[in-house]
Amino acid sequence: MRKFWQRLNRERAFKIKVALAFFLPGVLMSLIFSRIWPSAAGVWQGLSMAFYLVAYVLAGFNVATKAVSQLGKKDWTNEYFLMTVATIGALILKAWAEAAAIMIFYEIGEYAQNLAVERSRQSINKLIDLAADTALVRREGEWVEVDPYEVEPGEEILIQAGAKVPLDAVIVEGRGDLDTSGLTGEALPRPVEEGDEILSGSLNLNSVLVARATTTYEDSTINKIIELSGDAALRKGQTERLITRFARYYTPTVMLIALLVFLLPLLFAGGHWWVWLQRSMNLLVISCPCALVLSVPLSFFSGLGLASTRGILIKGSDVLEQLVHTHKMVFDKTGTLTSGQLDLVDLKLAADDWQEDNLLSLAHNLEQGSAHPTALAIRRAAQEKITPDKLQYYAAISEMKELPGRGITGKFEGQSFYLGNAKLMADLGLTVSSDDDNSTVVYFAEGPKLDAAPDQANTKARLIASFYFWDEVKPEAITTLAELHRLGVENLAMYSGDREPLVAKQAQVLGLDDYAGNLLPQEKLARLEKDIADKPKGSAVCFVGDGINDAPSLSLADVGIAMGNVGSDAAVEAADVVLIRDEIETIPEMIKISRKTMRVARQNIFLALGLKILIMALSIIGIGGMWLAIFADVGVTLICIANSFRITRGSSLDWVRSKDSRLQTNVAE
Amino acid sequence: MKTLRLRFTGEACAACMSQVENELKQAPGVEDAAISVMTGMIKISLSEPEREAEVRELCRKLIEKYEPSAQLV
Repeated sequence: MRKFWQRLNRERAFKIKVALAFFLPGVLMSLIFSRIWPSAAGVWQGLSMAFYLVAYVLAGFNVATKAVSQLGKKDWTNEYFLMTVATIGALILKAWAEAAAIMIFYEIGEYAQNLAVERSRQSINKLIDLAADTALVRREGEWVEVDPYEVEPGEEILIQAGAKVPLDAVIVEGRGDLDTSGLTGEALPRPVEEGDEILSGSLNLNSVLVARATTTYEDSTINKIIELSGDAALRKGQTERLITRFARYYTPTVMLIALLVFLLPLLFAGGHWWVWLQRSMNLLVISCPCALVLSVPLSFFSGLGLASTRGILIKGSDVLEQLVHTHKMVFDKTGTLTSGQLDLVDLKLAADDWQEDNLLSLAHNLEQGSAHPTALAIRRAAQEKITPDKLQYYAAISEMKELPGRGITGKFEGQSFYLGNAKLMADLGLTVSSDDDNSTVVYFAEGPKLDAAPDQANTKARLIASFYFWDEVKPEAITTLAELHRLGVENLAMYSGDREPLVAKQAQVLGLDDYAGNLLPQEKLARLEKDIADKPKGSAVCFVGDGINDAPSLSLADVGIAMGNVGSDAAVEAADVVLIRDEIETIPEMIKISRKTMRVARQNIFLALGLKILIMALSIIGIGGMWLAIFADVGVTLICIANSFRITRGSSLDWVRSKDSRLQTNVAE
Repeated sequence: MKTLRLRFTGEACAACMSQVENELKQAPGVEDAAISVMTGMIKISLSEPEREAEVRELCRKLIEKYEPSAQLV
C-alpha cells in the first residue's frame, strides 16, 4: 500500500521532470533566443509554442481526465475542471506559457504535498518496522517459526542475534545487548541477562537469547505502542476541529464572492465578461481550503511522531494542546521523585538493657515476612552489619503476626515484641515523641513481661528503640523540577502517603511549590480534585505516577502521565501520556515538544489563511493569473510542510551525552 | 459497541475527508467516527454492530463522493 503510493509519487516526479524539460527550453526560446536572433524570432516562437504545448499536455493530461470524470458526476466546482477551463482559455488567448505553467505548478504542489504526508507517516512506519513478522517458538522440543500472534504466554521463544524481539518476555537463557532506540530513543545498548525483562520492539544485537513470553502479541509493548500511535492521529484537538468547522463556512463564502465577482461588474460596470470570469474562476480555486485544513494535522502528527521516537507516547493532539498550558504538575512521590527505597539512617535506643546489634538482629528476624519498605531497610542494614551467626541467634520467632496499618508483632523466647508506627505504640499504651521530625520512624517495643508479678513495674510495654529512615531524593528529580519551573510550570507538587515531616523536608530539597504527606489514597484524589477546581481558566493540571494504584488519579487529572515501561495495564489505560523511558527528565522534553508543535500549527494557520486572503484580494483586483490562485493552495501547503519539518529537524540532532552516560536532549525552542 | 477500522490510500484532501467524517457520524448505527488523513485510517464505533456491512458501504460511497482520488483498502 505504502509502496503503491510511493510509486505513484515517483511517477509523478518523473512526469514533472519531463514536463519541465520541455517547459524550460520553451522559456529559453521565447524569451531569450528570439531576442538574440531576432531574424529567426518567428521560428523560435513557433518552437517554443510547441515545447510549451508538450509540457502542457504532459503535466495537464492527468488533470484534464479527472476534470472529465468529475463532470460525469455533475461536479464542476472542483479544481480539475477549473484548471482545465482556465488553461484552455489561456491557450485560446495564445498564452501557451501560462497554460503550461499552471499545470506544472499544480503537479509540483501535489508531489510535494504527498511527499510530506508520506514523510510524516515515517514515524509510524518506523514503529511498524520494529514489530517482528515471525517468532521462533519451542513446540514439542523443536523451534518452530510462527506468526507472533500465535505464541501463548509462557511459551519459550528463541531470539537470534540481529533479530527483532517479537514479544515481551523474560530471559531464561543467555545474555547480550539490546537496542531499544526505536522504542525509547535511548541510543546506548542495554545489557541484559537471565531474569531480565525484555520488550517487544527492541533489537537483539549480538547473542542468542531464549526467553519466556509474558504476554500475547496483542498485549505486547510494541503492538500497544503502534495501536496507540495510530489512534493518536485520529483524535482531534480543539484547533483541528475549529479549523475544520471554519473551512466549512469558508468554502461557500468564497464561492459566493466568486459569483458576485462575476455578476456584479457585468451588471453594473460592464467590461469584458472573460476578464471577470477568469477572476471568478481564480476565486473558485482559492475556495478550496485543503492547504489550510491539512496544515493542522500535519503539524500535530509531526509533533506526536517526534515525541514517540523519544519514548513519549501522547495519546492525541487534544492532550498535546493541554500540555502546552500546564499550570500545575502533581507527582506521586515514591519511585518517581524519590528512589523508592528507604534506608535505615539511625537507631536510637530507648532502653539501656538492650544492645544495638541484638536489637537489630531481632528486628531483622521479626520483619522477615514483610515487604514493607521499612522492613526491607531494616533487613538490609542488619545483613550488612551483623554476622549471620548472630542473626541466627535471634531467629526463633513464634506467633508472628502482621497488624495492618500498625506493624508487626512476634514472640522471642516467650517475650512479645512489637515493631510499628506511633499508632501501634499508642495501642500498647506508649506515647512517643518524634524528636527527629525529618524521617519515617518505626518504633520497637517490648510487650509486658509475662512472668512478671502483677504489682511489678514491668507489667507495661516499654519502648526499647526507634528506627529512623530516609527516602533518598533522586538528583535528577531536582534538576528536572528546576527545568519545569524554568519552562513556566508554576506549581509543582508532591502527594505522598509518607509522614508529613519527611515529605516536607524532601519537598524543600526538591524545590517544590506544594506538598502533602500522610495522605490516604482517597485523600490524594480529593486534593487533585481541588487542584483541578482551583486551576486558572484554560490551564491544565497534570498528574505523574507509575503505579497501579495511580489509575484513578491518572484518569482524574487533565493530563495523566504514566511513567515507566508501559507496565501496569490499568495505568496505561487511564493515562493520557505514557513515558516509556522510566526517567523523569522526559517530562520537560514532553512540554517543549508540545509547545513547539502548537506554535508551528498556529504559524501554519496564520500563513495559510493570510496568504489565501491576500491572494483573493489580488485576484479580485486582477493582479496575478490562475497560477497565483494555485499558489494560494500549493505554495501554502509547501510552506506549511517546511514549517512542520522544523519540529522534527531541530531536535533529533541535539543529543548530548553527559559524563555518567545519561542521555540529555536539547529540544530547540 | 464494535470498533470498525478501515484504511484508505490515494490523495486525500483533509477538508473533503472531514465531510466524509461528518456524514459518517450522522449515519444510523454509528456512535462516533474519526478519520486521519495523515495515517490513512478510519475508526468507526458502531452502536449497532449488525450494520457493519452497511456502514462500510456508506463509507466507500462517501469517499467516492467527496474525495474520489482516494479509495478504501
